[in-house]
Amino acid sequence: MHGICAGLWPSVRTVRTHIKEYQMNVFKQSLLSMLLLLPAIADAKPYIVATLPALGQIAGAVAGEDGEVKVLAKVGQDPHFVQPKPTLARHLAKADLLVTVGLALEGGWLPPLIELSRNNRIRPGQAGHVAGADAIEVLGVMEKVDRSMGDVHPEGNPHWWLDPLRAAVVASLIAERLVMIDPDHADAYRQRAEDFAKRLQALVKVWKPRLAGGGAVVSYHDSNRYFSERFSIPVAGFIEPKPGVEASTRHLDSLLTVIGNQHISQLWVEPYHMGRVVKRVAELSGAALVSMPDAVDGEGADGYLAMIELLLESAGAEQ
Amino acid sequence: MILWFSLAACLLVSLFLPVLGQHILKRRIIFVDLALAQVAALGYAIGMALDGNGMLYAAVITAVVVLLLALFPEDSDLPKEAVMGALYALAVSIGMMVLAMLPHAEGQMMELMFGSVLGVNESELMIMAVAGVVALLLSRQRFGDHFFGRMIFYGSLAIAVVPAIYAVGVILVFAMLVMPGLAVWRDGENGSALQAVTVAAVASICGIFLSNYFDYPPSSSVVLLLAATALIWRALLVMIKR
Repeated sequence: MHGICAGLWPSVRTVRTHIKEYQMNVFKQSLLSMLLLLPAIADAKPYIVATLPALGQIAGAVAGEDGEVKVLAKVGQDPHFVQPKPTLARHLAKADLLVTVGLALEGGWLPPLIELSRNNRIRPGQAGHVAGADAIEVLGVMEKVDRSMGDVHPEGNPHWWLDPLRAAVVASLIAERLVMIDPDHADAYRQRAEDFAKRLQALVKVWKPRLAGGGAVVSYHDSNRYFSERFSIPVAGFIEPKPGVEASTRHLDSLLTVIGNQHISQLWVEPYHMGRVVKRVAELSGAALVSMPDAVDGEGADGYLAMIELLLESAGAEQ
Repeated sequence: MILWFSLAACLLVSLFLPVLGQHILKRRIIFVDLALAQVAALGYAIGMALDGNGMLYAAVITAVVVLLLALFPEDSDLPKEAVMGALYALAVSIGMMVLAMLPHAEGQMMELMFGSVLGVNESELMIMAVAGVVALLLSRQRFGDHFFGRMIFYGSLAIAVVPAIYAVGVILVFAMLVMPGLAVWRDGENGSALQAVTVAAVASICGIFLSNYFDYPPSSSVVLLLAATALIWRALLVMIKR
């Protein structure tokens, strides 16, 4: 190795010319890279990072072809527990806008990633940080919280993205933030948010009467509250009332009685909670296990609507 | 209903896990059950990743690891407990990497590691009973310290421990293996197996009813009662000896 290097390196050279040449090189290189970057800067679309697939779809509905959307969590993943990976921090480092659920839903994994990305534009409180929960009416705010209640969110229930009308509100917040970042496309962002809201309102108008008068359901956690309240579906109980804490035998036996007495026909469970306890409750009670995903594949407005329609069809079956 | 099935599951595992645990205590390889369970979960995840039968992959990969473990002689100069710990960490990490490609399997793999007595049904009780009897019969044989003997020992552990973890959860299985054995441990030797089983059974009954009455998670109550019963039992043994 040494022989080759010595051969390539000019043997007689003063330190001074060396430094000069180095400075020259740096200058040339930075000039070159600036020239190369110029068209990119001029043409840059806002880079939007969303924490969850559904939020990515809402953001995509607003951004359309004027923005690029990247989602951190995968479809099928429990949004409370996303494995932090270097690639996720890299996406955040590039982000102009970060779209989150808020209410500490991503509290277990997102803050260290934001820290790692060293991107000040997307820190909480900055214009580049959207917490959807800030824009909506939050349900389930608790007066008093202690550790014995399990992994609950004291500031309120964070699962708002399953309510189409709240999603429309958050879409208009995203539109306003995008207007600040990319004023050239202001009208397009606002128009798309409005169109999205209209589609969602139409969907609610069609489905709400269809689901009215249906029976109560049992849900795994209190994660379908925004959805069930929007469509007036009563929830009679939870399989795991304290998130992350194994239920007691007494709780499950009394839940079985409730299911029997109220003739409850559906157990709503996210795919990632479809475990043995859930199956056992279904087996003993005779109620149907209904998979209620909080994310589906698909992009933009169509992807989000497909998820809500899937949930509505599941809830509407056998009612 | 769920109360009675949970109680049956706890009583069932308290019949064979403490006895197997005494073999583990004697060989000082406490980590072996965690390592085997994690390897089985890894096999399950790989099976899911390859769109195969998760259980089949779990069985095959666990069998391979049992053969590898059996290569270590009893008097190996390597600390065996450290080998088990290393195997555990490795299996967890490979499992995480497989899951990173496959978020859908996360729930299923977690289920394999963190079962719950609340989910036990008739067929699982049957499987555990059969696995427990097979493991007890195998572990009673004295095969001696050669490859075949060790293979039988680790194999019988895998047969008993892996389905038990799936059914009642890793924490409860771990406690059932070591706590009763520790309660009756005397003069550097294993104590009476019958006493160990009694400790486990008493703790199961008290723990499950404590959970039901005070609305606590059942596995945790049983583990707490196991610790309490074990301490009381030791104190009684010491008093009787005096």
